[in-house]
Formats: sequence, structure tokens, C-alpha cells
Amino acid sequence: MAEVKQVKYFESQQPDEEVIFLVRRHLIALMPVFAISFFLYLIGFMAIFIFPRVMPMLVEGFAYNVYVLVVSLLFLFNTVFLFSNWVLHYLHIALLTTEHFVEIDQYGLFGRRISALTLDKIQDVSNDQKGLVHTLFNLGLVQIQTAGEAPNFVLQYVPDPYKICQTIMETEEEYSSRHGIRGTGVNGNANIHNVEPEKAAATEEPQIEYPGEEWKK
Amino acid sequence: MAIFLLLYILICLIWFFWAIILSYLILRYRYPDNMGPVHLVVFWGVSIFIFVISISFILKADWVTVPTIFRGAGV
Repeated sequence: MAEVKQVKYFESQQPDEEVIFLVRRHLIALMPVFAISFFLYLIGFMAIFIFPRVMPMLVEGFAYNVYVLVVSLLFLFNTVFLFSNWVLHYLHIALLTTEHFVEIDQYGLFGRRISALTLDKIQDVSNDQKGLVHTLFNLGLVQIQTAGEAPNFVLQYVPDPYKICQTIMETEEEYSSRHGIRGTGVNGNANIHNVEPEKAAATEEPQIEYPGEEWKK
Repeated sequence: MAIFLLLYILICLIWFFWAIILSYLILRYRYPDNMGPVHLVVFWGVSIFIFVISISFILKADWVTVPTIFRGAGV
């Protein structure tokens, strides 16, 4: 989790709303992109230093023009391909604040989605670590299930998923205590004990009186 | 032969548009860790380096020397 400075990250962020953590996918998620890019750079360098020696006809006369054109463009476009993937990775973040859980997703050059969720809507948080890569690098998948029609959040390749889940649960508990909300969240009705008596009474479910033995008759 | 140079410039314009959009995104939505601008500088540095190297190769081709371009364009 990155160290966070208290600045405004999204439009609806309140002035007194503190960011607790900011998390991105681990760079290991970009491995396929790195591999493709490395392969293309390798071809480019081979095109400069090896191919002309093996096949001299590539750099003779008219072919030289096409050859230079193709190799130059290969390097240029490979660089911008690598950088654009890195930009999309960098701009995709998830934030936990004292009031909200927010996911900001940059998908493509012209697509940006900001999903914010108040913490009382969180019903369940789970993490999943499976496979060699996840275990070696302590990565995982964090799922946040929400109440109602709010969409669930799935964060992939996040570092230290267990700690993230713990932090979300603790923050949700504090949020519920602060706002006197009966827990629909991860801790269920446990939150009711931290609430002022008047507020607790207001949020308690009405007692149903059963007719008892008379009802059977 | 100047058509190859025009083609190269045209394709570079597409690349340039792509790079400008990415630079805008980084500067518009930068985060306090400032990793975006740092990577942006590296990206433009590498790109300019590739341009310079490419041009040094391209200038060796007979179809891109200035007189040839003008002759090819019928000037």
C-alpha cells in the first residue's frame, strides 16, 4: 500500500475525509506486456545489429528505405505501447477513506470510471491467494460485496490482500460506530454496542410479541 | 521516393497524437507520489533518443536528403 498524502483524489471527497490507503495492482500484472515489449525491442536490436550481416540484401538500395522505416516505427510504437500500458496501470487505483471506498479505473485512452461506495454498504470482504505467483509475491484478489444494487468490487493482483481486508473491516467498524449505524456491514449487529443509547434505541428492530399458548387455540 | 518520407511523417503523427493523449492523462490525473510525471519525462527522453537515432539512419538513405525530397515533390 502506497503512503498517502492528504489531498483530494475524487470530486465528492469531503475536506475532513482522510485517505487511509491507496492501492494499485502489482507491477507483476504487467508481465505479459513487459514480455511482449521486450520481445519487440529484441527484434528491433537484432534488426539493427544482426539481420544486416546475415542478409545484406535488406540494406541495399530501395530495401534500405523500407528497412529503416519499419525498424524506426517498431521502436517508436513499442515505446508508446509500453508507456500507455503503464499509464493505464498507474491511473487504476483503489482508495479507502474514512467515509468511502473508491475505485478509479482508467480503461483505454478515453474511458474513466469512478465508483464510490459508502462504508456502511459493505457487506463482506474476502481475499483469495492462489497459485505460485500470488504466493511468492504475496499478492491476491480482494472482493468487496456490497448491499443492494451497488456493484461489487474486485481488486486483482493487489499486494498484501489480507492486510487490505483487515483495514477495510476495521475502518467500516469505526465508520459504523461514528455514525451510529446498525451493522449491515462485515461485523453485523456487533456495531450496535458502540452506539449511544438513544441512537441504538432508534435503530433497534421493533419487538414482536407472540400470542403464546392462546395463539395455538 | 519522397512518398516514403511522407508515409513516415504520417505514421509519426499518429504516434505523436497517442503520446500527447498519454501525456495529457498523466498531467491531468497525476497523484501526489509524482511517479506519473517522472515516467513521462523518461518516456519523452527515450522517444526523442529514438527519433534522433532514427533520423541519423534515415539521413543515410538517398530518398530523404533535402534536395531529393524537393525533387520528388516536383519543386
